[in-house]
Amino acid sequence: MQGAKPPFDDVYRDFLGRIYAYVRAQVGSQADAEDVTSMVFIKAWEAYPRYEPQGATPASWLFRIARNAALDHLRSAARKERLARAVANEPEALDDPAQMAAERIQQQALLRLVERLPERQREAVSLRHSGLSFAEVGAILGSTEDAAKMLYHRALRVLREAAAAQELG
Amino acid sequence: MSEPRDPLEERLDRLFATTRPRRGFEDELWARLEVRRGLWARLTDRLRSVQLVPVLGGLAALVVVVLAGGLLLNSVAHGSRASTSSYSGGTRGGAAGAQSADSSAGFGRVPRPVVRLSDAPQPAVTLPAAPKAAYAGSVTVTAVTASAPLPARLPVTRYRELTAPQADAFAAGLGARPSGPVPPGALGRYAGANFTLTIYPSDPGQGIEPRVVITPGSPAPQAAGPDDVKAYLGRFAVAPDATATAPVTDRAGGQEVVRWTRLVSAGVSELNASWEATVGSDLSILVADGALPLAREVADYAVASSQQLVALAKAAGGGSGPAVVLDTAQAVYVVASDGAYGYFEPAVLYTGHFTQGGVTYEKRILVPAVAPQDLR
Repeated sequence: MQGAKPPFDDVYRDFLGRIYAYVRAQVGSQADAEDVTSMVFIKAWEAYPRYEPQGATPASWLFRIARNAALDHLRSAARKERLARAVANEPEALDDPAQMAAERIQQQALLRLVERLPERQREAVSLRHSGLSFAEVGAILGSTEDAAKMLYHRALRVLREAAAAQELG
Repeated sequence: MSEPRDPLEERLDRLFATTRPRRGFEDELWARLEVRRGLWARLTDRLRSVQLVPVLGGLAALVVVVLAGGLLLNSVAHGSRASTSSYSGGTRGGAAGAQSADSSAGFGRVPRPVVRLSDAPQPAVTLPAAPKAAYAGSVTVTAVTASAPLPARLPVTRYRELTAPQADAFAAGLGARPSGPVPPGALGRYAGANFTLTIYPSDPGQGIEPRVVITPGSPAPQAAGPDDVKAYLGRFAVAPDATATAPVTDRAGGQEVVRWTRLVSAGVSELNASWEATVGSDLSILVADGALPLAREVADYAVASSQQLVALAKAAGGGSGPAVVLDTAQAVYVVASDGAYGYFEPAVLYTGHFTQGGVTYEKRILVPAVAPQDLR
């Protein structure tokens, strides 16, 4: 996809959902995910005139902005506190839990497991399953492709064990 | 994902493919982005090509004036057909202090508003409670059962369109210098101490007056309420002025949007907010924008008859598509521009509803309220 620079409208429509999903896995709540996602696209819009598609795909460029925004968010003490509460199994506000399908409940449980991963493992899993190649994941995390693969598979192992412990897997 | 997959990876794929923001978030965020981005592109060349007019006092004086927090641009008297009054934002309050010209067409024929409601931000005016699905297509208006109470004459306000050198001077007065590429449609983009500014001219398509979009740097300024937002905008000489109505706060997701609407004439507000800020859940101001305090002139214009308004509304529906009864009507002001001047012109915002495929849609139609003979 390197080459032509797509209109920002296209980038926005193509990536909003994916960026939100990535951010949602990094922060503790839907509200925070919306905050951070908004900031990502505001920053992206500001920076878009300087974006050079030859240097990075729109995906890796946007996810890099998203990662930085999520990290900024998590570095705030207040945010950390909120995340800690969320991770400590505080029940999450759901629209109508009674109507949630089993699959949806399992997805929520899996999301919580992802949220509990160590930061870099969580990022590796989130970026990888947001559609990025290991090379792109490694570039965003400041490591090699092989290191990104190792990080990812280590995260999978942790997730698998945690899921088994919760009888999810 | 070309590697062999295990069930956990497949579930992770599904998790990230199905985790999406709530319905409406995409459009809300896009609307915020639209305020500062480029539906103005097609206007830029035209606006830049407008011959620069002398500005009283020159740009140096302009900077001084801006620094003093006063009038941004001195107006130049125009319009030989009638006398007009001039005032600056903040020196008079809406209709209460209006000094209107006595000509039926003080500025001559004014440009027809071209606001595209499908592109424009969510109107700041209070609309009746309605389903959220807006319909942008053609409709058949079968009846217009509502009318907006309009006097026989209403003021039209105009201002000189901002030029790029004037935008530069305004930014310089705030200690900001040109920075980076200019976004599409903008007059300039500037960086100052812990902020960036982007200055836009009028956008008739969205019905937005010339404004400054401020993106705070880090650490972001904090706002615990509208007063803090107002104070922040005031640092950039774009605080809500005396024509601003009371602030309205909307919560969307984890953010709050504080906005003020300009009351242009007695009981009639501008369609879109003139001052606005988005505040994050940590109370940091994410982005703010405010109308430039341009000098404005006022002249009274005859208002279209109710029959003319109904005919315009029916024609504006397009004449085909779902049948709609326009059952609400509200007088608003919208921004129009002819390149040299921007105008606040009265209009009527009609709404009606229809149901299709189990979904109820809202159709909005905006028609100019200035008498047709005074429109270009």
